Amino acid sequence: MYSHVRAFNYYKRVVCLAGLLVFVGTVVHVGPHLENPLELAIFFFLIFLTELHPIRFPGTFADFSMTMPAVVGLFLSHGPSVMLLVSATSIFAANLITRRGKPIRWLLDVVSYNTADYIVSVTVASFTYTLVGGGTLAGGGAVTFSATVLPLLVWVAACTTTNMLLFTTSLSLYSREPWRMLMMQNLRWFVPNYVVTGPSGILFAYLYLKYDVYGILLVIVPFLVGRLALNQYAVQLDAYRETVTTLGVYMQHYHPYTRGHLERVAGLADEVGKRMGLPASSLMFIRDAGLLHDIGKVGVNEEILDKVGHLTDEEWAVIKQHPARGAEILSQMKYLERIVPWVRGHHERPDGRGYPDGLQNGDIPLEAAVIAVADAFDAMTGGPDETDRRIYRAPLTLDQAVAQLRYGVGTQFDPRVVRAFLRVVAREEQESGG
Amino acid sequence: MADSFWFSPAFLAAAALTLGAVCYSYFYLPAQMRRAYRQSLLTLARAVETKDTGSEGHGERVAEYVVAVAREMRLSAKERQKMGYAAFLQDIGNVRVPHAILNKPNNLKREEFDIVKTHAVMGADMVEHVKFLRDISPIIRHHHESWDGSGYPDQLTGNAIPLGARILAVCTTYDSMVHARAYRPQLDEETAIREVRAGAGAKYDPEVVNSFLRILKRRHRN
Repeated sequence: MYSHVRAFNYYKRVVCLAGLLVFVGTVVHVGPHLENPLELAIFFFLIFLTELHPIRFPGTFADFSMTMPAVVGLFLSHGPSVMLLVSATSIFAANLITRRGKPIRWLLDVVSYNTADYIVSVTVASFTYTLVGGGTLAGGGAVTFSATVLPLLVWVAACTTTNMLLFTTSLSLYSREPWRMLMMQNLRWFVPNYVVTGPSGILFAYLYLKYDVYGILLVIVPFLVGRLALNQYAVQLDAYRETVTTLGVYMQHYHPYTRGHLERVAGLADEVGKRMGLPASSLMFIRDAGLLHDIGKVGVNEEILDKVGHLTDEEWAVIKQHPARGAEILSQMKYLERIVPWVRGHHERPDGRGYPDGLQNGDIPLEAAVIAVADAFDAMTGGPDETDRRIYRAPLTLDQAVAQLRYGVGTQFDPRVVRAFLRVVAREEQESGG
Repeated sequence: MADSFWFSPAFLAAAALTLGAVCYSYFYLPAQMRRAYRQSLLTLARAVETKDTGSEGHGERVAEYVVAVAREMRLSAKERQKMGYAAFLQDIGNVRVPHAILNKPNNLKREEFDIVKTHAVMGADMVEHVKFLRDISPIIRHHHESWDGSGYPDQLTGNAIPLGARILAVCTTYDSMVHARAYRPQLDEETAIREVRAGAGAKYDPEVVNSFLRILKRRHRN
């Protein structure tokens, strides 16, 4: 077994053990009698429901769920121990349900780890909460809203941070990617998550303290309806994008390459973009840009596009119009506005000798530079399928193509992109080779 | 507690939020998406139209006729929308017909005309791959069929031709006639109307022709 897999397994076991110890300790501490079982049951279902139905805002990869606010309400009213028992079992159950149908051993493995991860995070959060002087209703005494705001924010922050650290470490051990890089990537979505979760937790606590269980409904109902609206949006946006990209790909199919080329460019651009840590809102659209980058060639006389020999100046001028034409076409597509400058810039060069605008180094959108490299590389290697290759040139080997990319660094290609690209290609080689 | 709860700002805010989300997802969003969808299909169609000199705007104008005829024939809103999209995309298969053939002034050779004819099948094929446009594929495939079976690609006759394709056939011929094309000069409206009427029962579905002529007449009156 590879050493990194072993390290990952050890790590998982340690977290699971810690979670189990805390859980058993809490069970012993609380004892057999739970007060107010009906309300606890309501909380159990609430957490269960919210955990089952996270929402994803368009343009992000972060799932937001109302679990944390519900947990905060439970924590305030019943104290850390009961909160832990109820919420951990609820999350365990919800995780089992969402992953049902998978092999049972794998299932238990993953779900136990996730739950343990959660238990450790909330335990750390609860300790921090007490440290900064926060109280709970169960702990006796009058808990006022104003006195709990600050400690609650600390609670959510501590919980989120611990969760992020555990998650990043496991991901880093598993994927062998550098910890720091993953941390930076994760920060991108943990921060907005916290910005949403923190205040909504406070709101939840406020409504709970003021209106009891009704207060919970006040948050949950709008949340679930809002989730419906966002899902509707996501579904329609997907339908829209699928229509435009599929039709666009079939329209370009004939010229100048095959569909396989466009799909590979899209896939490579996506991976390189991820490796470079492009923002989620860019990553969401970079595949579309890869698929549609040559849409400007649609409708252009194919005698020019297919010409094997020397092109006249007029013919070159026609060819050089295609990025701008593509951008013009895409600017009419309401939800693809973001990719317009990327498509327009996919033949620009850092040395300023590209077209159509002759942009220089810093003015070329990074996404355009990514597509340029992916496009050039795939055009050189021609992809794995022989029927896919351009007819008028024998494909280069991988090493030859890599040499070409290296040769063009700083003049034709963006150095940052080439660096990331070579890593992606090397990794793919390694995976397919070994 | 009860009274103060129902009138509390928190409850009112929650209710307003819920209502807003419902309106957003069931009214605003679908309308906006439909507009974007229409615009995007039209843009893609236009990109292909530039290839065939003289056909710019053809799809959009034809869609207007098609939707009006469909309304005249009391078809549902969903059907009308479908037929409108089919009109936009009817000649999208031209993307694979060589530029030189599309723009040849006249006297296409038999082989060349055979290539032109493939555009219906290719367009239908392309649309077939798009999940949300699959049901307009037959309309595109058969929009050059004739009522008497002399059309292409499958020589269907009468009601075997999808209704959308029968409507599209009339509208698209009329619009082509009243605009100059590479292969033919522009006709004036009366001549074009006469041609369409003469084709009823031969090339075109007589019922569709009737509806179409009624619409034209009404337009002229206004």
